[in-house]
Amino acid sequence: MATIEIGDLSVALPAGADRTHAVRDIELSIGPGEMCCIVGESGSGKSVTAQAVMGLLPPALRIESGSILYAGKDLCREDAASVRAVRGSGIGMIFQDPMTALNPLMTVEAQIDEILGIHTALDRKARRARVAAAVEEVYLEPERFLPLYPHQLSGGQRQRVMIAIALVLQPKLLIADEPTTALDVTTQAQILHLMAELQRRHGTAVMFVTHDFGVVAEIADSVHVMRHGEVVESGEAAEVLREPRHDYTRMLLDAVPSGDLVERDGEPPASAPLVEVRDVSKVYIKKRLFGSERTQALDAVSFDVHVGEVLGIVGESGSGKSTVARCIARLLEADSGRVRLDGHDFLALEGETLRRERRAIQTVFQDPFSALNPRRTVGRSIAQGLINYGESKGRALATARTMLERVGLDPTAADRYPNEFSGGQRQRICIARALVLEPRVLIADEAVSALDVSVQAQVLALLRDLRDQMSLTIIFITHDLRVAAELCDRLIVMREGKVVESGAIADILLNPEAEYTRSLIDAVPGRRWESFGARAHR
Amino acid sequence: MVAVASPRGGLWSAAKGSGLVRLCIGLGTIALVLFVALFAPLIAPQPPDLIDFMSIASPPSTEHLLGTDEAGRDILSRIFYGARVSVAVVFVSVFTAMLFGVSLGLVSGYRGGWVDDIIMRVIDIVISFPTLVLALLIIALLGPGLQNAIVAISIVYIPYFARLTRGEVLSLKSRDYVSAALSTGTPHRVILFKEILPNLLGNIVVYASLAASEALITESALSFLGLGVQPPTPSWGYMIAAGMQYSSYWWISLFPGLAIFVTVIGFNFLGDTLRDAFDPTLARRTRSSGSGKEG
Amino acid sequence: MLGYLFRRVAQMIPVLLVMSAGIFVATTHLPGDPAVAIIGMESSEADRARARERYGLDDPIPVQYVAWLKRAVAGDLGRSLRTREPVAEMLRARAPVTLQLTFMAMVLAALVGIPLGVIAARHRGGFLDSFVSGLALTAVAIPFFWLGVLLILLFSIALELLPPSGYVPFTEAPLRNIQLMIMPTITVGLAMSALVMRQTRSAMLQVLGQDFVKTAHAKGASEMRVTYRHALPNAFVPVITVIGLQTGALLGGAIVTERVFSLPGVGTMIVEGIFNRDFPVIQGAMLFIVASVLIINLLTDLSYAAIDPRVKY
Repeated sequence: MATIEIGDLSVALPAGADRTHAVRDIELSIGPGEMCCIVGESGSGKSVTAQAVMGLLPPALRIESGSILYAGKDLCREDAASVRAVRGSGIGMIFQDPMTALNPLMTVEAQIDEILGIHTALDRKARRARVAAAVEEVYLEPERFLPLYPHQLSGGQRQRVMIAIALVLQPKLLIADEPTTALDVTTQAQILHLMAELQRRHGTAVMFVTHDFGVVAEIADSVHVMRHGEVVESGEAAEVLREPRHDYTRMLLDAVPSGDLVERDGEPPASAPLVEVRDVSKVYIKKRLFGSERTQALDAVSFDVHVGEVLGIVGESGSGKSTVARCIARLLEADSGRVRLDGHDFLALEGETLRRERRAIQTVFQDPFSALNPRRTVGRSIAQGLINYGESKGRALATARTMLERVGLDPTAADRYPNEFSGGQRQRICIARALVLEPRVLIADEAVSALDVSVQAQVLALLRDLRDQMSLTIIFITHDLRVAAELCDRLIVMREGKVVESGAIADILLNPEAEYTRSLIDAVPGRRWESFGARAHR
Repeated sequence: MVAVASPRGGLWSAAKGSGLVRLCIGLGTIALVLFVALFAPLIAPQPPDLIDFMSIASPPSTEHLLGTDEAGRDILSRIFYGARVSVAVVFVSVFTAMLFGVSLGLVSGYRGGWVDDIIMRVIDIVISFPTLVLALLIIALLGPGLQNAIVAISIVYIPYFARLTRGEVLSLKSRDYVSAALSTGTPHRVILFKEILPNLLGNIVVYASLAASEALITESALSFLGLGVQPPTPSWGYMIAAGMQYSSYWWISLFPGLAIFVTVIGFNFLGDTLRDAFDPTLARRTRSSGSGKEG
Repeated sequence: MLGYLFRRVAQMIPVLLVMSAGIFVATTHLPGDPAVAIIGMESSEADRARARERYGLDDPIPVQYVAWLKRAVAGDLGRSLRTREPVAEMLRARAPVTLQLTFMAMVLAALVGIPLGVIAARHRGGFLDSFVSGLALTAVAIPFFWLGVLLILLFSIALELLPPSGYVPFTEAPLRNIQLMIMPTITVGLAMSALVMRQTRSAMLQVLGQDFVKTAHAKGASEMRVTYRHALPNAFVPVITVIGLQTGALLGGAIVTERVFSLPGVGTMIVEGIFNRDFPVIQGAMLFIVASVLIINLLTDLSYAAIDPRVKY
C-alpha cells in the first residue's frame, strides 16, 4: 500500500501567467521506506507538487482537480482542520533555506516543543524528553543546542533542527523541498547521509525535491523527472539514470557535469605565468560596541595563472575564493600582497593609471540579474567599456553587435533591454561585455552557479569555445568540483582564506593530497554514478 | 525608446485600476493647489485684508462663500492667499533639503571612509530629534518669520534625504553592474551620475512628496503657534489659531484646516502613485517559480 | 542586559554633552550680549557688569560652559527674564504635564494601531484592509492641532460633554485629570495610531511572507497560532522602532497641543519663551526636550534587546 498516492493532480495558475497550470495531471506514488526524488529545472513545478501535498500552496494557486490519497483519505477533499491535523504528525516537511525557515525569536527547544504541543497531549516532562531524543537523533547534543537561538547555529545545524522538527512525531511521509541546495557541499553530504539513515531507521517515505542529478544518483530509489508542470519520465532511479527514455531526461543527463575530465582542443596551455599572485591578505574588521571582530578573509594567498589556461579556484562558502578574485580585479582592496601582471604590480596601480590598465582583467559575475544596468540597452552596456577607452560610439556599438554574435546571440539584441532576456542569455551578454575589451585575464566568479543545469552546460560550452579560439586565460571560480572538471586545466583548493592545495586537475581529482580536498571530493553527490574523473572523454 | 523600467512606462501600468483614481486625485489636488497659489490675486474674490464691516465673523453665505473671519475678511480669499505661503514654504524647503541632503548622501555613501563616519554621526544625532521639535528649536534660536521657517524646515529634512540617499548608494554600489562599470574603466564621477543617481532618483522623488506632506503640517503647526509667517500675511495655520478664540464661529477654523487636509492627501496620493511607478519589481517580472535558478 | 544598559547610557552622555554645549552657545551667545541673555534687556549697565562677573562672561566659552553645566546639574537653570521664576521650578511643575500627555498618546497609539494593523494584514486586500488603511490615511492627513480645535468645537461647545481646557495633576484629582486629558490625547495620538497601524500591517505582511511561517504551517499550527505566536512577535521589532521614533514626534505634537487646550506644560513654556525672547526659559525647555528625546531613544533600544535575541548585548 502506497504511503502517498497522487492521482491526476492539476494546480491552476492565475490568469496572465506564462502557462495555464503550474502542474498538470501528476501521477505519483511513494511506498513506505521509499526515497523518491522529484527532479527538474526551475519552473518545472516540482516545488508546487510538494506544497500541494502539504496543503501549503500560495494563495494565488489552487488545486483544480485530482486526488492526494494519504492514510485512506483524500487530502484534496478533507476540510481544513483534518488537513491541519495531518500536517506535522502524518506528513512532515523541510524547506530549502535553513537561514529563514526557523523562527528567529524561539529557541531550538521551543520550536520542537511546539509541534508536540499542537499534536499531542503529553505533559511538560514527557515533551522535554521527546525533544531531547529528537535532537540527539540528528546528532546534536541536547544540553548544548536546546537553549540556542537559530542565529547561533550554522546552516547545517539549522537544517538538522528542521529535520528533528519534521520527524519528531514520526510521520509516515517526509517532504523535503530542496533541503540541501543552500548548504555547502560537505554539509550537504552530511545531511543527505543523515536523512538516509533516519529514513532507514523509521521506514519513512520521502519525497525529495531537487534539481541536482548527483543527489538523485546518491540517494534515490525512484525518480520522477518534471518539466513545465508535467512528469515526463519516472521509474527506478538506477534505470532512469542509466537508460533514460525521454528526450528531455536524456538532454538533462547529458548536461549534468559528471566530474569527468574533458580534454581540450588545440594547444595545451603554456606553463609561463601570466599573473603572479603573491601573499594577498585581507581582514574584515567589524566594529562592535566595544572591541571588534576580526575575520581573516584571505591569508597570504599565492598562486600563478599560466598563459592560456583555465585555472579553477574551488572552495566552500567563506573560503575566500570570490574575495581573492575581487581583490585581483581591484573591486575590493586587499590589505597586502602583490599581483604581477605584465611586469607591474596590479595592486599598486592608482587613479587614472588604474583606470587605464584595469581593462586587462575583466569579470563575469554570478547573478545575471544584477549584472546589467536595467536602464541601459544591452548594446550600450557592452559598448560602454570601449567608449570609456576612447572608441567612438558608433564603432563601439558595431563591435558590441559582433561580440553578441560571437556569444551566440542575435546582434539585434543590442537594442533591447536586459529584462527581456533569460538568465543564461544575460550571462552571455556579460561574457560579451567582458571580452569586448580583449582582457588578458577573464575571471568567471561563480558565473554558472545560478543557472539551470541545461543552460549551465551551454554557457560552459561557450566558455570552452572561446577559450580555444581566443586563447583566453580564465580564472574560474566555483564551489562545484564537477563543473570545475568540465573546464579547468589546473585547480586551486581554498579553505578559510588559505590555499590548501593546487595542481593539475587530473592530479588533484585522482590523487588529492590534502585531507580537506579529499573530503570535498567525497562529498560530491553521485560519485558512484560515473567513475569520477577517471576517464577523459569528449 | 522607452525602457520598461522607466517612470513613464511604470506610471501608466501603476495607474491602471484603482491606481488611476489615486493618480488623478494626487496630481489633480496638487495641481489645483499650485494653480490657486500662483493665481491667487487673479481668482480670489476679494483682497485678503479687505474688511467687510457689514459682516464681521459671519457664516458662509452667497457673498462670502466660506464666511468671514473675526476681522471681517473673506475666508475664501484668505485661503487662496494662504496657499501661497504654504506652497512657498513647502516647495522651497523640500527642494533645498533634497538638494543638500542628496549631495551629502552621495558623497557619504560613495566615498565611505571617515567622511562617511562623520557625516553619519551628525545625521544620526539630528535625526534622533522629531521634526516638529527640531523645527521648533531652530525657530527658538532664529526667531519667528517666513524665512526662518523655511530655513528650519529645510534643515529638519536634510538628514532624511541624506540617509535615504546614502542607503540607496550603498546598496547600488554593491550591484554587479556597478562593479562591471568600474572594471570596464568608467571613471567614478560617471558611475555616480550615470549608473547610481538615475537608479535612486525614483525613491528620492517618492520620499520628497511624502516629506512635502509632512512639511506642510509642520509649517502650519509653526504658523498655528504664531512662529511662522507673521500676520497680516494669511497662513492656514494661523487662521486656525485665530478661529480658536471664537469657538462659536466654527467656520473660521474649519476651512483652513480642510485646505491643509486636502493638500496633504494630495501629496500622499501622489507619493504612493510615484512609488508604485518606480517600483523595480513591477518592471522586472522573472518567470521562474521555484528554486530561483534561471533558464 | 545590565551591561548593555550601561553601555548605551555611556554612549548617550557624549551626545548629551554635545547637545547641551550647542544649546548653551546658541542661547547665550547668539542673541548678542550674553549678559542680556541672562538678565534681560531692561538691565542697567551696572547690572550687566555684575552679571558678567558673576557668570564669568569674560572667560573663554568652554570655561563658561563647564560652569554652566555645573550649575545646571546642581539644579540651577537660571531665572525667567520675565517672571524671575527659577526655570528649574517651572520645569518641575510643567514637565509632568507634557510627559503625561506624551505617554498617554503613545499608549493610545499602541492600543489602537497594533490590533488594527494585525487585522488589516490578516485581511489583506479585502474590505477590512482597505477600510482600515483609508482611516489611517485620513488620520495622518488631518493636521493634529486642527483636530484638537474641531474636538473642542464638537465636544465642548456643541455637545458640552468635555471641558475645553485646563489641567489638574493626576495625583490631585485622577478622574478630572483623565477627563481633561481625553481630547488632548486623541489629538496627539491619532496620527501616530495611524502610523503604528501602517507599520504593523507592513511588518506583519513582510513577516508572513517569510519561510519560518511556512514551517509553522507545516507543523500543523492554526491560523491564530501562526499570527499571534509567530508573526506578531517577529513584527514587533519594526513596530517598536516606529513607536520609539514616533514618541519623539509625539513630544512635538504635545508641545503644540498644549496651546490648543491651554495645558500648562513645557510646550506653552517654550512658545512663550520664544515670543518673549526669554533665553533662560528657552534654554531650560530645550534641555528638557533634548534629554527626553535621548531617553526615549534609549528606552527604544533597550526594548529591542529585550525582545530580539539577535541583538548582542
